[in-house]
Amino acid sequence: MKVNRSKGYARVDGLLLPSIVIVALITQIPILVTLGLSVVRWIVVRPDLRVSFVGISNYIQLFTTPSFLGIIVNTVVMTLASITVCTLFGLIISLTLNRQFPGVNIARIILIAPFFVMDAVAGIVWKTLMLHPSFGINSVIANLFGVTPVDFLGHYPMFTVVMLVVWQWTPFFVLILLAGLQSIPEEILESARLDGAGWLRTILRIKIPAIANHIEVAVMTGLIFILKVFGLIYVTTAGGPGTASTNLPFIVFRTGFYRWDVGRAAAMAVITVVLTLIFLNLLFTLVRRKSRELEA
Amino acid sequence: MCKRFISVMASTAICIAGFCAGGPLTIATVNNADMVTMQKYSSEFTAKTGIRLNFVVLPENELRQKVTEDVGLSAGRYDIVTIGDYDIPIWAANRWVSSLEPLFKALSPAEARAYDRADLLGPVRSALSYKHEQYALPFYGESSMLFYRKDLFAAAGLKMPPNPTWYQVYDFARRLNQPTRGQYGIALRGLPGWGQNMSVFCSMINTFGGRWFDMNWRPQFKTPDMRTAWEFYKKIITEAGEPGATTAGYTECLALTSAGKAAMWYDATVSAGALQGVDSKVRGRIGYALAPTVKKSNAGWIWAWSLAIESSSRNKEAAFKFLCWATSKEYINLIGNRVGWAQVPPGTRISTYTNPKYKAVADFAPLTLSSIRNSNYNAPCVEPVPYKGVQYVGIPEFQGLGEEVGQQLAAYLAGQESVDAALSACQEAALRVAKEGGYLK
Repeated sequence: MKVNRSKGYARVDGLLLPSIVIVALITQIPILVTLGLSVVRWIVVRPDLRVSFVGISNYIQLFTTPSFLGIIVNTVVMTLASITVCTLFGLIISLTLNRQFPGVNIARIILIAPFFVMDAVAGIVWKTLMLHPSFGINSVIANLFGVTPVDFLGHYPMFTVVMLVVWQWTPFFVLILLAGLQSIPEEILESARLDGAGWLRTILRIKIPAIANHIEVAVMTGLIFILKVFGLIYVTTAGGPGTASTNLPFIVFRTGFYRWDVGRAAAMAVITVVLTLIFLNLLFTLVRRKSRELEA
Repeated sequence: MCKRFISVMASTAICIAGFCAGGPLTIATVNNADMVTMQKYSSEFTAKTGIRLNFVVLPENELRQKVTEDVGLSAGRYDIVTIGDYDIPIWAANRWVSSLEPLFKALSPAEARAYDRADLLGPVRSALSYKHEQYALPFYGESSMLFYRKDLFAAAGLKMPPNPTWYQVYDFARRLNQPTRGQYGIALRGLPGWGQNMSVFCSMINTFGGRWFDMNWRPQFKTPDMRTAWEFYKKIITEAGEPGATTAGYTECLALTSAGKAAMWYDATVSAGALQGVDSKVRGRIGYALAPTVKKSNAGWIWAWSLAIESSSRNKEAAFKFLCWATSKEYINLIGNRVGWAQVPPGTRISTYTNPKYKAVADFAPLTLSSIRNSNYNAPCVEPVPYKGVQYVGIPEFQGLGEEVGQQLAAYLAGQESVDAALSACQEAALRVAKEGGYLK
């Protein structure tokens, strides 16, 4: 029986069509609506001003506002710092947990737990019970040593937000990297040992190259989620003081729901999406290149 | 087939009839203690009138967002909305809420007498009106006042005047500030937000002689009075206030004061009930004074959580019945008798403050009443201004502008920005609002 390959593909495409339509409707319509809203002037609380087409003036206004450019820098710094530290800590912790010792399962559960705490809850607990200079453990420790408690959220807002993101997201990296480490065949590690490779050499030359794909997945997924961190910022620093810890998702929220400026909020959202795609592509290219180098 | 068609038609007809006749009233409300109590006792209203109620209870910020979305996008999900006096003139101008005047006129003489509209406190009623028409009824109202620890003042040989100046307050705060013993001179909100640090700081700006805009809507952030207010706010907090002030909002300041960690606290009059509550460590040791002043003698703010009817509501008459019940003397008596007189919604009716049962449990009642009566919603500043509102500027753009200025104030307080840089940023933001909003003349 002859198989018509082209017809076969056509049939497969036909079968895929409903899924493609549903995915397109779900994902593309909001993007198109956001794009459409980004070229209008619409302030919900001023219906007397009417909705009007303003072309790209929302974008021009944003890119000529120094504070908005500062917020883009904040977003980049916050994301890169968090991803770097999460990857480093994730690797160290997963290497530590990838062995048998008494209570290993309990240790794994405890270390992974922060990932399952909701953003708002984690933020409030850290802000009030841990870092607050009057009520928190911060105050208790400072009093113990007779020093003034550090006002983390007021004086080091960016550092504190990155610290909280790292606290919450490192377990995610640990989960993925640990899965990668556990999938390395024991024979390879055994061969490395027989060849006289020490623990550091085994990690650098065998384990890390072997889990390169897992690192890639963790970094990519982490990037997508960490770029849109909102809850932690909302409940801890509210983006401040000033705009010191404001990132793009938070300014979109503030512009949309405090200023009710739908046009500018939509323009910011479009910029956020574009930046995310640029970041992902850059990172993807970089990781691919590194992987090829390691494979070679 | 015919049978099925008839049953489908009948169900549709029943649904349409139900919809037109008006189902339960949907009420969007805030999750504070007084509103939760109202929800709890709303079955009394249903039993009396047969009108069913469906509550949507949300935190304050979320409530404002949801309700603004609802009216701004004409979704018409709610019949009754809980909004503050900041929102009323704006929403009335946008025709998002209905005037209550026609509904008041339709009341029978007996109903009007029972409700006794003249009993509502004048400043609160004025704040809930637009072009001489009332658009909302006050559920509870508040002003601001200074709370101080009588025991600490007595031990230090200090005497709080009934109407202190901010400079006297600063002096007291410096003397009573003992951070090593966990006691701060004063608690003041520093958490950025138009409903947080800006509530307190706006009233300070006014009394220091500052204003947001002049009569031509030119921003006034670069005036000496405004600068003095900013510098004073930072000075009093850094020298005698709570540490980590940029994370201290209303809740944190209340916690500090009720835990006995603050010698003074300037905030909402409604907090007096909490400070005298059973959980408070400072119960019975709190004294009260009017909002501190500098150049303007009446510096206290005015705020009222109120109930209004959405213009799109199909059940306006039923909604008005609920509004009247929830803000009536009858409701206050119900809560007083069932829950306790200290828990009745304050700041709305004159009769509450003449009620001996309330006066017996609320030693703060006379000062709350004077604070509300003393506040000047229509002329909040020393110099004339084109806007109304004490702790806010009564324009729709203030939510965004207030947030921006609040953040600049926090950045200045945290030492991340100089006063000049912060004031310039505020001037720029205010100018943008004045231009884009079409206010600037």
